[in-house]
Amino acid sequence: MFKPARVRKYSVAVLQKDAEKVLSGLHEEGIVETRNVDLKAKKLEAFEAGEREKFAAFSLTKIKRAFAILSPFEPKKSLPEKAKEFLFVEKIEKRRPAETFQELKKLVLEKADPVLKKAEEIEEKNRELHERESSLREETAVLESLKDLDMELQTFRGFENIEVIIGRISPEFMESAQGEISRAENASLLKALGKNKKEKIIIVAAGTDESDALLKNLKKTDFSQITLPELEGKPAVLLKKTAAELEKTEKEKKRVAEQAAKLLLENRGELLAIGEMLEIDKSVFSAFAGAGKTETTASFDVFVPEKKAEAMLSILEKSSSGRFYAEQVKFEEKEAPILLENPGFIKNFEFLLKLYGLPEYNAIDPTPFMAFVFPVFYGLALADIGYGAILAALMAFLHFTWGRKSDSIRQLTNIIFVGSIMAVLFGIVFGSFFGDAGGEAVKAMIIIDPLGKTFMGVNATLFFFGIILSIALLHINLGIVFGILEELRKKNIKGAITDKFANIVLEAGALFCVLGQLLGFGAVFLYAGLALLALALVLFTISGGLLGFMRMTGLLGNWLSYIRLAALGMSTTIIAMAVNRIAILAFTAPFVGFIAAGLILLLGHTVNFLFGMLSSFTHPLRLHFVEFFGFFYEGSGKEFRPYTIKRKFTKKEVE
Amino acid sequence: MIDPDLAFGLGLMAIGAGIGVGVAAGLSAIGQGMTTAAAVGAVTEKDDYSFGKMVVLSAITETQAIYGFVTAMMIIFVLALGSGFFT
Repeated sequence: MFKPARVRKYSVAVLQKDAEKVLSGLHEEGIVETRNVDLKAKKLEAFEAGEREKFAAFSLTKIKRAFAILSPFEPKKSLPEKAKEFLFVEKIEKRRPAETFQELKKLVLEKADPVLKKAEEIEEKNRELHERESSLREETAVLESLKDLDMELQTFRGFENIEVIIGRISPEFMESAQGEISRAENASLLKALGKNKKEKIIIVAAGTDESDALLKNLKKTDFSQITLPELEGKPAVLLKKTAAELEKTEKEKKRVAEQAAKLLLENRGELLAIGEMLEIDKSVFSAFAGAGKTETTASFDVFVPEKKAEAMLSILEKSSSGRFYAEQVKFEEKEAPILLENPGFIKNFEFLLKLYGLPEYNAIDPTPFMAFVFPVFYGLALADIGYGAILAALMAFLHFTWGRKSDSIRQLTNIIFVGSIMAVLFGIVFGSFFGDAGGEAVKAMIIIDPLGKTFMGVNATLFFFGIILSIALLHINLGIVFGILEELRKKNIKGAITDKFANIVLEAGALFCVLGQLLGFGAVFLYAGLALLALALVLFTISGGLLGFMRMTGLLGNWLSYIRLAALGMSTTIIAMAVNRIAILAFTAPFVGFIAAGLILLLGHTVNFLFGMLSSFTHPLRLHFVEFFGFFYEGSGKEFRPYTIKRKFTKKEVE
Repeated sequence: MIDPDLAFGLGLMAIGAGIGVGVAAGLSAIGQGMTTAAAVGAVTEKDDYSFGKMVVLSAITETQAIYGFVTAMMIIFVLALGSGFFT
């Protein structure tokens, strides 16, 4: 807590024949992060990709291909099924992973390869059926146009010096088409089908030598040529045959789709498990890419959290039968991976910190402070008993359903749940239940009414602002103190004084001026205040140059920025009150009054709730990221990425 | 019964506060739209930029809306308090 976990860097050397076992052991536990070895400095050679890595990569592409072919055939899920899948964790039958490479190879050859082969056969069959279907549909479209033609299609083929041109044309272009035909020397309009229709079909016979020119001229209108299908018979008869063929093709396509869906259903679990084994194998061997070797040894560098160092050494001991060398080496601060170690409830807020960036290795971890302040800000911004209670129930539901799927979602639901509880508490303090829907019962509980007239003799709204700005001052000063500590840690004493401490001098100056001028404490206070303000200006100028005075207004801006919490809290209540008022007005309307009022209440409060929920999250987040972090936090740490892949479809038996 | 002159003055005050916060918030929103669009682009293109940095970039223009809100509140409470309406 308060600082990232301490880590150690080890340079490890093992015999090459033990390397795979050692790396597999470390990979299974997931307690180290591997780093590339400096080959030049250590005079080592690089590893080249071996047969096993290539096999894993190639086999994975085969499994992915099988899924790519078969997945589109999966039966479409209904909305409740999709919702269930989205919210609840699917029960997975975990399989025993292959113990050796030979076993894994056998699994791929005997289980995955046959599935891919069948999938490719299905893909080929499906492609053929698609082509057949589209050709039949094209034929149907042509035959449909020609169905009134009482002549066999072969009649129009096989002439030596004549070519038959068939095509569609709009009735308004018929005249100009006829003109073009009559201008040609050896051409005549054989038939025009489709009287009184939007489209006509014309059949023209033309001499072979001038058919191209005629076609070109016809295309000056909206004429579009039809290619006759290679069929024999009358269009009306052929149309029936084609329809029957199309039906047969569709049935065949359905059968193939069912076959594919069945193949996927029967083999999905097995394929996913084999895929996971291959991914793990590939990942284990990825460490070799950063490792170095001599003739007989393999060497790799790892970072391990201090608390896990003993466990790592014990894995090395066990997997190499004691034939290893591990030396703890020094490392630079910026090189260290960042692993946050906050307890229980506070850990949830690491999610928010990661949105900005992790702290550097020796910097302050602000997560515990965020865990305390963020829910209070969230509560102040939403501040409504009704909205808070609904949100708490929603988050509790999502925590136990969707939250089981991912740590991040669980952490997010936990954060908002605590924030919504604070919203209920502040709702009680400020007397807001869906705005003013609580009536006398809620009014009786009010401690401060920000929309009321007075509180303790002061204007209630200004008193409310005063509370918010006081909290803001505490928050900002905590940031300034952290800023001073950070500068001192970096041994930048000048920066600590001129860049950070100057803010406190500025605040003290402003306070003295207020005491002296506005509260009548006397001229001494006023002059002392002015002197402190001048000192702050000098310090800021030293730190930031001629624009140093901007830092003074910047601090004021940061402080006033917190007033947004009051603005959000009040606007949520005021919008809710407006919705209630409109609903009451609508209720007085005859006949449909109660329905309109109900709809207004439902829609108005839903929209207000959604906006409130979202802005109560983003604005406190901004206050942390901009106003609070601005004084001390850089967030340029690189996350500790354990050398492991979590097993989902396989489970190793405990030895 | 409120004095008509006082009521007129309060009305003008309310309009002034409304324009103050409305213009500040509206223009701030336009600015924020521009900066956020650019920030989203930067975050998408460079992995080094986190969501948090995007919030910081887009938050810069937002402060002007808060100034508008504070000014409106000062118009209402400082001037209205002076008028004696709230007492």
